[in-house]
Amino acid sequence: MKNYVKLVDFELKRFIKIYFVLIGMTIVLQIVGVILESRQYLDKATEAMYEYSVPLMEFVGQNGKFGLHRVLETGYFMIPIGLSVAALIFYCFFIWYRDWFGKNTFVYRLLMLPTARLNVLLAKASAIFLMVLGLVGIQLILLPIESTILQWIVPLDLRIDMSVSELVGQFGYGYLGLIIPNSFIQFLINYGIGFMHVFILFTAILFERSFRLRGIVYGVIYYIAAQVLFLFPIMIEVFFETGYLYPIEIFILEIILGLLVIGLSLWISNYLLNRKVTV
Amino acid sequence: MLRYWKLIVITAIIVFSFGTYYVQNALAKSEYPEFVFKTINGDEAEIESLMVTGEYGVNEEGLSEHFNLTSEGTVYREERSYLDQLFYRSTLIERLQSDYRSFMRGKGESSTTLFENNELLAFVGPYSLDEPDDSFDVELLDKRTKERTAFQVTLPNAKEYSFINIQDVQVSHDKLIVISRNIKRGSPSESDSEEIHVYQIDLTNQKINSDEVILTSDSGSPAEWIHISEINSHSHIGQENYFVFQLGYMKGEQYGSSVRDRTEYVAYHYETNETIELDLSEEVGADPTFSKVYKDSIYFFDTEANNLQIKAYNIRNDEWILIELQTTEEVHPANLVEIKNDMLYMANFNDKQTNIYALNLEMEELVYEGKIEFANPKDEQGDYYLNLYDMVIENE
Amino acid sequence: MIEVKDISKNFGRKKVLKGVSFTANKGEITCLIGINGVGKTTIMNAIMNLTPIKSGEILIDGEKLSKKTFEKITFIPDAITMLPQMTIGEALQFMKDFYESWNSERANELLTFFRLKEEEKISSLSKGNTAKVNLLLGLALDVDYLLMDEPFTGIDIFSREQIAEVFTSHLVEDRGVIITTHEINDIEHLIDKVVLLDEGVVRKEFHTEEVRENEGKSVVDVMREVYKQ
Repeated sequence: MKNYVKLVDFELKRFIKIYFVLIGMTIVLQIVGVILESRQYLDKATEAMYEYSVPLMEFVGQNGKFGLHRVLETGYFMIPIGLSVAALIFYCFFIWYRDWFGKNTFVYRLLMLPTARLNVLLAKASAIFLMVLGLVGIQLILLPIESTILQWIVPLDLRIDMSVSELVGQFGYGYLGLIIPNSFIQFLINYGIGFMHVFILFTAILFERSFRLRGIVYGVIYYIAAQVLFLFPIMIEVFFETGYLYPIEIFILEIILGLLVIGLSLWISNYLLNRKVTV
Repeated sequence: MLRYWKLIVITAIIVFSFGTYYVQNALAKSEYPEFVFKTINGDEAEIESLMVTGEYGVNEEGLSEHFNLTSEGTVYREERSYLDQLFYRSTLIERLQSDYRSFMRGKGESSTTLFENNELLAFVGPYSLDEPDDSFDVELLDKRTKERTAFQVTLPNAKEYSFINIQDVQVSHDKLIVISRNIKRGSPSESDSEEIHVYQIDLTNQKINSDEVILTSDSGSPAEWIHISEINSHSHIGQENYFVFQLGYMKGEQYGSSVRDRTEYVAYHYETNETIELDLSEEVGADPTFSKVYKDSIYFFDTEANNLQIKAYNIRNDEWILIELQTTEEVHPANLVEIKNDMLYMANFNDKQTNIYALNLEMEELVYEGKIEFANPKDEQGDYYLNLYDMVIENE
Repeated sequence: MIEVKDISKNFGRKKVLKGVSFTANKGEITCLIGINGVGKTTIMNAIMNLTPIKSGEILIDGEKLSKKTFEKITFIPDAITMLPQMTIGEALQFMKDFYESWNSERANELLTFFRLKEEEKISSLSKGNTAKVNLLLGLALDVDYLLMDEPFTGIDIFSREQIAEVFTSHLVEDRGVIITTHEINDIEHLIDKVVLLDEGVVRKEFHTEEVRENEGKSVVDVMREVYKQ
């Protein structure tokens, strides 16, 4: 356990610089976006009202009120979030391959640690989970702050104030609802599926690391097989439309299968790390 | 410990941000206003089993949420447990699935494929039949003995149709009747045409006895086509005497712009297997009027004049009854109506106000008059709208 | 005692090890000799469970390798096993964090001996100094067995002398050491036992002292005899 925590900390530190850059970029771009977009809206309103004497109500009727939801759709939000997602997905691979490739042969050290080798995998996975949740957590803290900044710039008559859950729930902007679901159960579902994929991917990578060229084939097969196993009840529904199982039963079955796939991935990974992996 | 500050800080951020967010969400009371039934006349007990479903929204904020309103109060969708929201079923299907869990398995959630009376529950499916399937699954449950009978019947000429949708299922004696809307596969040059079929299935032989086309969208004239709609409620699974269609004779392109020329009504009588053309134009005019079928009658609701007028046409006796009701409040243009046990329940509304009426059909008397109100009058402000779309009379 | 029993390994179709067996005792320096590509490194990796073997068995003090064994045996590969962006100090801290058998006192002693500075970054070190850090990371562990892969290859002459000095010091005394090399000259005087490998098999296993006393031959003499056949 102690070794696991130390390893998680170690894995975090190895990516922390890029991670901090991602966080910094997110914070700066989003806040700049809120300021610029708010100003732009306000300028438009001022122009309409003072130069063309458009009444406030009419302006609001034509342009709608301003709110954080409008900034959500712009590149100021989408680009940092997209880049962070891409960086973390890329790191899911790199977190393994960086130990094998390059001048160093750090994998020797990792595999020779006097601790279960599965801990190395769990630490890598945990580091990824922490970084994913950390970024989303920062986004959660950032949204009310951005909301406040918006309130400083745009007067009450021209804006809609929304809490984070209203922002997610009402406007249901695909990506925001995906990363910050309003319901805790949906949160567990989304991130459970996400983390399950990380475990499946790690097992596929270990297949490659164990059997090299042949391992790529094994890895791809495993990745597909795991997906099929997980989605089996849903695929049956889609292809055969039997409707035999009630939705709630499929839901429970999916939870069990998801846990099963995670368990299976860990078990195979453990076997590969102890018996098949090669430096 | 200090060496692990990065790990500690990240974990703290996660716990703090998600913790606050989800605890807040869990504790948050709905910000949507509470609605109540306000009695104007009559006994509130009359509407105890009534539930209306609708949507409340505020235009300028773009916020809206669905709710159920009963005499007990308002329940917004977001207030229900998340799994309830995720696996939402209609009240009817929810009751059937919990009472007959095993029988309802694999039977879908479409009420038109079901029939229920005191003795039995019947299913014919699938709701929508398309290639390469050419048969209905029929299954019956004897409520007393719990005995299940299942068989398949092959539909004659199924290949001629691109799909077949079930509109109603009825069982009487040893006969099962299925009314379906069949889309006839047209040649590439002509558009698809619709047919209304009545399949009679013999429950003893487990065979199809007859397949009749009682209506078709093809009027015989190239300039005119018929828009067929059902008046009977799709959510009723109990016994019906008549199944009534409204035929809109349309001039113009079927998929382009077309204009309604006239409206006719056709009733199918389950007991005698008769199709009766009804000439009601004198009483209800060329335009379709909001209507309901109950027992032997079609009820037409006229709320355009500033009083509530119900015209009931008895198909069996070819008789009209006019029920004129004096209401306290102004009458609105839109209606939701449910009839059960000779009681007619009605929600009469525009986008802000709703009247609620309960009418005893035998006495032709308004036994309840009320309206939907904000529980807290302060909530009634801004550019809000209230849109009702469903009404259920819950079983006691 | 490290017992290597009849291990085989293939790389694809190529048989690299065809039933290799030998033993290495505590308190002795055992040297695996063979030309490049003969499978010396593979044997080391196999002992450390860093690569799977097709058949055979490897025992360390009569037991199979487990995670606990890594407190008892360590391996110094020919490349450094720390992240290049770490400083020497951070590398030492890492070792201290994970190994109970880490001996900080000895690590400091070695730092002084090799004239290395904690704040230096590994990536900025010369080849010789990198090799010394790598050696240090292994030697500062209080382990019974030490495996070294080509410790003298590609290193300047002064570093080599320094490293050779280590072998005769208390740092190695009493431990079991296996080293691999493809040139024996520099270290002939250091080693107690030789395992001659060729084409995936052990051609001869002998104690240097014995052949010198009994047959009056040097290691190179024996090698000449064996490889000329």
